[in-house]
Amino acid sequence: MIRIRFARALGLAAIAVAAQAGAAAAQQTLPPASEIVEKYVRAIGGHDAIARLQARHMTAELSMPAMGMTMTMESFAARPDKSVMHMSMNGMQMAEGYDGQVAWSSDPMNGPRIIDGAELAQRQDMASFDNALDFAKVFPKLETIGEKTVNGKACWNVRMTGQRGTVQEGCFDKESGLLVATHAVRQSRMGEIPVDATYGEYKQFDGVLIPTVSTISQGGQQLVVTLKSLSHDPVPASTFELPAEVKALQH
Amino acid sequence: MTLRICIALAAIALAASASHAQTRHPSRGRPITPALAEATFDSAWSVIDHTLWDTTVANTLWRQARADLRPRALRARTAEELRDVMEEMVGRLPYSHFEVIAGEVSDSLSAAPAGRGDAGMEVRLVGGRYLVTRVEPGGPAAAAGVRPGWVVDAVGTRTARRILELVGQVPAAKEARGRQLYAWIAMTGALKGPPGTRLRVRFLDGADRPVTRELALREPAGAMTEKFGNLPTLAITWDSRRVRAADGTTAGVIRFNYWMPVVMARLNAAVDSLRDTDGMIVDLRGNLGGLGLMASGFAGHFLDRVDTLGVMRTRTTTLYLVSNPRRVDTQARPVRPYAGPLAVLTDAMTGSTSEFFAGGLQQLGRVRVFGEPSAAAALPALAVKLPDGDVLLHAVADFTGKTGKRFEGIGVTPDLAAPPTRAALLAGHDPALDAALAWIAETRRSRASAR
Repeated sequence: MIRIRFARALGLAAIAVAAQAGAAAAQQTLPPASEIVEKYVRAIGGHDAIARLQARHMTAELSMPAMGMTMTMESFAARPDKSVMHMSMNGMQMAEGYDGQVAWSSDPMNGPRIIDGAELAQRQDMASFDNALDFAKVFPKLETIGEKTVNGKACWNVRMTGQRGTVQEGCFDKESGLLVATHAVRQSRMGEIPVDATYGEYKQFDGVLIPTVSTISQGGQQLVVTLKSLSHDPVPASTFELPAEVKALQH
Repeated sequence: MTLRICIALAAIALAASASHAQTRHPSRGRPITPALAEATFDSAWSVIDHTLWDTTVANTLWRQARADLRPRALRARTAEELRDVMEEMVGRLPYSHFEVIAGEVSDSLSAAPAGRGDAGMEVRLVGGRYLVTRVEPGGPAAAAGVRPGWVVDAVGTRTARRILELVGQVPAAKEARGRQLYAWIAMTGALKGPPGTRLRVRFLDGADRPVTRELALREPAGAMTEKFGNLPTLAITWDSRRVRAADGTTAGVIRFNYWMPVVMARLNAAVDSLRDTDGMIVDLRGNLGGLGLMASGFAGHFLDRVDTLGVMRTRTTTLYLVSNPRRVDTQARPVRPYAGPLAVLTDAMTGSTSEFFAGGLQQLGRVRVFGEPSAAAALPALAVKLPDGDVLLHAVADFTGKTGKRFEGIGVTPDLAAPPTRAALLAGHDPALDAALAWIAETRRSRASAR
């Protein structure tokens, strides 16, 4: 058994080395990641347009067509890194948020929870208001790792690494520069969950292009998120205050 | 989000197959085109092929099932014929939670409250006879003078014997626990109807004398309904109360029949209201399951540390049913998770999510289980719509408790066996509940003497 495992490990190491060598060879012809994400910023409206946005209020419908389920979602975000999201499923209200220091979740099924560990690190890495707008600001390390075709669109695949080690891949349309897909491994209470998403039907909101339909695949299930409304009007600071049941956990 | 869908869906399949068995005729049924039959069969087969966690089974038995049955599926001229083929296909898998549910059955059950009228009593197959195991105070059966321990001999024109003959035709009912489950499903269905209608039931009383009673069906007390995704509308029953033993021991009893979101707020409120009791009893007899994440969520009321109720292994991921200790009550006040003795009552109709809860906490040493072995049908499953409108229920992961013990095919074994007996029921006892209460009283005494 040990010998088999050792042999398998050697085999995996060989594959990894071969893959790295291949990647190194391929990288010689790949455009720099900084150029790809910069093109994306220009494609969605440019740095100035993004910088003008100070807050965000979104409503969306989440559907799982195969399961015959529909949920509603309302989210708020504000610079630099505050966010809160409310979801409703079969009358059950669920919420989660980050106030710049504390990441939390609360729902009738699990009760209130203050998030810690790897889950917290990932949330902090992804907490920036500019996440999904200006990747260079959010992810200190960017590298082009290849090219793919997603929904018929050829795209450059960029690996983005956050301050605390969160890794996300983003694929940017070679032609338009827009983000067409992401791949990440989400840290959750239940363990690590690979999440693949595609983005489409970009529309302009206050000078910035935002995808209005996202299709998320995780755990063998598909979730379609359809944007219903989006506003960049100011959001009251009280929106991001911890709910009473989460505050109670701090005592 | 992963769902554990209740094996109650088997009830629908059974009802459907029973009605088909009586009414099917080659020239009848919902016509289906060859293209739709092909799309439906291929869709069902592919969904399972992509999600079956055991690749050995997928690569052998499942491939063979397709080769054997696809030609027959393509020859199907009605949805019913196609469903038969697909039921045979999923029936080859050695697991629970694989069913093809008739779209029209699902839709009709979802559309109206026709089957929600309830007789206000529960029955179980005990010793080959249907015993009344519980009579709801103030309900139709109680109003008609029905007593626990009576035998149900006929419902309307259907005799218990005939119902059991039909049950005997279900392959899964060959095994004792399966027989108990399907027999219960069949009789429970027979005892339902539109609210306001009268149901004529023939009983054998405590002295085995035939007694006929008219039961005025009504919406069960505390009844709720829930439509969750592709599942049919489920009628949810709920009860929480406080009981007191002769020695003054108090216990909270929480009883419900499905783990569905509509129940969650009540569960949380019930724990709050029963915090001061000497012990709690979660009565999961007849609870066939539901939303799996609710099991770990509810368990958080009874665990003082983050812990794992079980492990779900899909083909590509390993996920943990993690419990979050509840340190805040429903009024946002700090509390400690309930630390008193916790009993769970189980029987052959305790399935799926209920087995995650009972077995998971049993493996953590946090509960004592009383009653009978559970249904042994405990796999995470999803329900997807097929091209022809039918619903495919399919398990997507293997499941074990924290210590690695599987419940599928094994079930949860009670720490103390306390099956219902006719003598006990006729004497006004509930063996499982009595045993749980006695244990709580004993625990209270031993804790008092230790102080």
